[in-house]
Amino acid sequence: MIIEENKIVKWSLISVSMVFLSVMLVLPLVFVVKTAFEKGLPTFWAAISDKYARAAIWLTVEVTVITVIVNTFFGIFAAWTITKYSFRGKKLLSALIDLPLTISPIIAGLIFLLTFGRQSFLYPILHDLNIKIIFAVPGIVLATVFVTFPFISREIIPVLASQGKDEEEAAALMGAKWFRIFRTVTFPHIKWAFLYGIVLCTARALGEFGAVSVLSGHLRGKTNTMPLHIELLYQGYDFTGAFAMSAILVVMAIIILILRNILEYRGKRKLSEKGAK
Amino acid sequence: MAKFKKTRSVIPGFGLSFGITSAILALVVIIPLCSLVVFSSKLTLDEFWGIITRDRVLASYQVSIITALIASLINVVMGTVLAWILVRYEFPGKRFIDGLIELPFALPTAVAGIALTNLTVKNGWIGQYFSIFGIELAYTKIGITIALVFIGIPFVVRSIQPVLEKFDHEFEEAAFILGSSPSHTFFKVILPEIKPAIFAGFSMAFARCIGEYGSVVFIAGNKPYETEIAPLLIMSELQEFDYSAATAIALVMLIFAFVILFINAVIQTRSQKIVSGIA
Amino acid sequence: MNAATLIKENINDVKDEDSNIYVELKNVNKNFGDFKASDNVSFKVKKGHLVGLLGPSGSGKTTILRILAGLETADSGDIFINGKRVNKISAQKRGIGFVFQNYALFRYQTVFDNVAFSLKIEKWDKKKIRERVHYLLNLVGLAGLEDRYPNQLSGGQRQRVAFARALANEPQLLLLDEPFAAIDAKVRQELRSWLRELIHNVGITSIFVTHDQDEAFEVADQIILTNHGKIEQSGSPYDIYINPQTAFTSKFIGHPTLIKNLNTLRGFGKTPDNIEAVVRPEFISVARTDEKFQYSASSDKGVVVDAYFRGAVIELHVKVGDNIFVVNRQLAEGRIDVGESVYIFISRVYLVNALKAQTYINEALKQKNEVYII
Repeated sequence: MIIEENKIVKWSLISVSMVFLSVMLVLPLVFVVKTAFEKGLPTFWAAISDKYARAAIWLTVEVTVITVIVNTFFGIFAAWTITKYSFRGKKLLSALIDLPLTISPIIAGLIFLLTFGRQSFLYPILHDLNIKIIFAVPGIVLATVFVTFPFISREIIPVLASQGKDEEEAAALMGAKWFRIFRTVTFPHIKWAFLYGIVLCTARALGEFGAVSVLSGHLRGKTNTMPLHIELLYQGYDFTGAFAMSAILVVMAIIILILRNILEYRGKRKLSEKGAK
Repeated sequence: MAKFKKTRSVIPGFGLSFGITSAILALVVIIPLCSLVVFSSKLTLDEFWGIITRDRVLASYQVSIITALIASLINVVMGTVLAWILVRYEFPGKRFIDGLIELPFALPTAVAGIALTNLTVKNGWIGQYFSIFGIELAYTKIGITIALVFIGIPFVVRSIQPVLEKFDHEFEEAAFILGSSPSHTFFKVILPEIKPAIFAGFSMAFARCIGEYGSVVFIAGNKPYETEIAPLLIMSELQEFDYSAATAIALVMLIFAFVILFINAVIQTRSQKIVSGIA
Repeated sequence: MNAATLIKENINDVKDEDSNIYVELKNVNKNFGDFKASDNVSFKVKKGHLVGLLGPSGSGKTTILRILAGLETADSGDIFINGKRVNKISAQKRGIGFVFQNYALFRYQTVFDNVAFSLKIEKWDKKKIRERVHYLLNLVGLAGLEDRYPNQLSGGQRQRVAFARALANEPQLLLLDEPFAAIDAKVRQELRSWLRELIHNVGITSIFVTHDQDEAFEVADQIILTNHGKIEQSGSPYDIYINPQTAFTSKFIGHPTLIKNLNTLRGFGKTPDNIEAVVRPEFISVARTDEKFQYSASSDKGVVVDAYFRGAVIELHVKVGDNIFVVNRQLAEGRIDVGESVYIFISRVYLVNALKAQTYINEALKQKNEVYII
């Protein structure tokens, strides 16, 4: 008997999985939303339209947008460099790009603290120029860029690698310049993977907590992002406020998951079209 | 010049894209990491050793490693089951579950942290049932483990799923015709095939859990020697502006994470060689 | 005619010869790590010729093509196209069209956009682009498919698009990498003659790479045979087939069998003892012992050990002494079964030492007073 024909095994495995996922994933979501609206919509509204909450939301959006732009720019060039050329040190380059994935967010914050903080040799220079990085918005941006650094390139690289470089070579032989090759030949291949990477990057940038926590300085209304603001409210026992902010992020997370699934589906469909003769 | 010529490609734009890539990489990753190394080199070996062998530090490593290990093992089992049902079975709500798996990637860790904490406190939705038996979840190692299980779910599932999808049914049919029982087929035929993927998922989840901060900090209770994880200890050293201690603790964690990933890389290349037949 | 004019004419001949050469490689070397992909490769290609680079996989034929195109850079040596040294000239400016093995059609562009790609780069005006693309698609027999995407075409159609695209900006040299490899066997046959005809009509100098000798013989005007990064032999298909010069050529071309101890066979006189010889089926004729046989005096007697029915011919494996020969017998000549005794007559063998091959004709054929009875 082939394993999946066993009905008892099938349904017990499915039930166990359902229970596990409900408790671990669904219940927290339900809890957040329920607590956020427990005391009624007006309370919820008051919580998220509070001056500091608005500042936190705005800062988070700002940081996320900058991060996505930087990582998109980087991701495209990195993926292109790694897949379309052969050169010495390529493995090292791709290992370095993936490195941030393995580094604890706290350590990510720490390294920027050491690079730009008071004990760094850069500090006097930055101080003279009146540039504040640590405990200010640039620090938050840097930390967020760091933790989401490989997100976009990692999505594009496998697609480009499996596509090969024949098409680009053909275009180059006919005299096309870099940008034309990228725009007309390469980009259509990576469109979905690229958007997918942006979605992932956005998700992580919106919610980054550890690294930002090290670098932010926690100034209400100035350097507090949404997750940091949630922490602040929570520790001040303002549960409704904390969960109201959380509810926004939960909704964002759900939107991101839906987008992710649509993009993955479209990407797969494109792939199978390509495979068809 | 000769060396440069060899690497020249007919596709234009190498200088530009390589330059941009390495410049941003240097700014964001290499220079900051170097500053960690530079800063730790200011410590003498004795100082370094002194910091990382403090009782409180050792205890925090212990908490981090044990909880991360248990959480990752739970995820290996549940992740394999989830990947299996998602690939092999048809049932209502399958696509929904498939989409849900990635929630821990999408949901900010702080939100997950406070939600899980409030669920597992004594009078919380889940915690109340355990407190009947005198078991406390939140503010114990169990709480930390729960948070880390949450974080690690997608890693194992997403690493096994594609391998199972590609896995040829003929193997199982061959085993069946040769007289193998279903469980024998699973453990002797299928499991060896997905073992490298399981290990890859395990080590990624483990490395991530060791460094996890946001979801753990709320549920842990942060009692030194008992529920204080290493990243949290780094954080509190930083709040006391003891950068040397923070750096030393961080360096050990980094090395630990690299070792895990290195072992994984070795295992992956070995299994690759078996499959592709290169001695 | 005095001596002076004679010399002059000779010089003119040489000049003519040179001006007729469109592509020349001189001592080209290329290594990938320890692997010698091109080992002192030199050859010339006449203008308007269709040349096949033939060799087993890994023999360096594709590397030669890619070096010519400028897709790879040679470690040393000179490459001339139309008399100009092009080593330092970028691929784009060498005036070549390149057809990739898997065509490298832009999958996200229509047939029209694919063919028009190079014209847009050269900033032709729109009307002229449309005319040119239509002309080309007519030429390759794909008129009306302008708006299809490559994935909506059959393998043969894709090859035609690739061909049209490579010809679009009027290159002087066309390079094709395994042009038929990705096509079904049946369509391949049809495309071969189509391509040969088309290339000759367009009159463009062309070089194609193939590992399939039938393809090379059928399509090419000139064959360059490569092995281990070296050129083994170069010449007309007929010459390569009938007069292999090297050990590799004699063993690679056709369907050769090795002969042990040529001395034990009749008709080849004294040959050195420890030398290898190869023979191809088409150089062996076979007859039953009760049939009349032309060269019975120079024939060897053997036994049929295997017989394979191949349709038009029957492939017989005949054991003579230590050797087993493969012989094709026409179906019309009547069947021979396993176990029957037969005479075989070998008209031509190639003696092979480490490097060279030498043709040996059966002595019976050299005698002027030979009587032909059929």
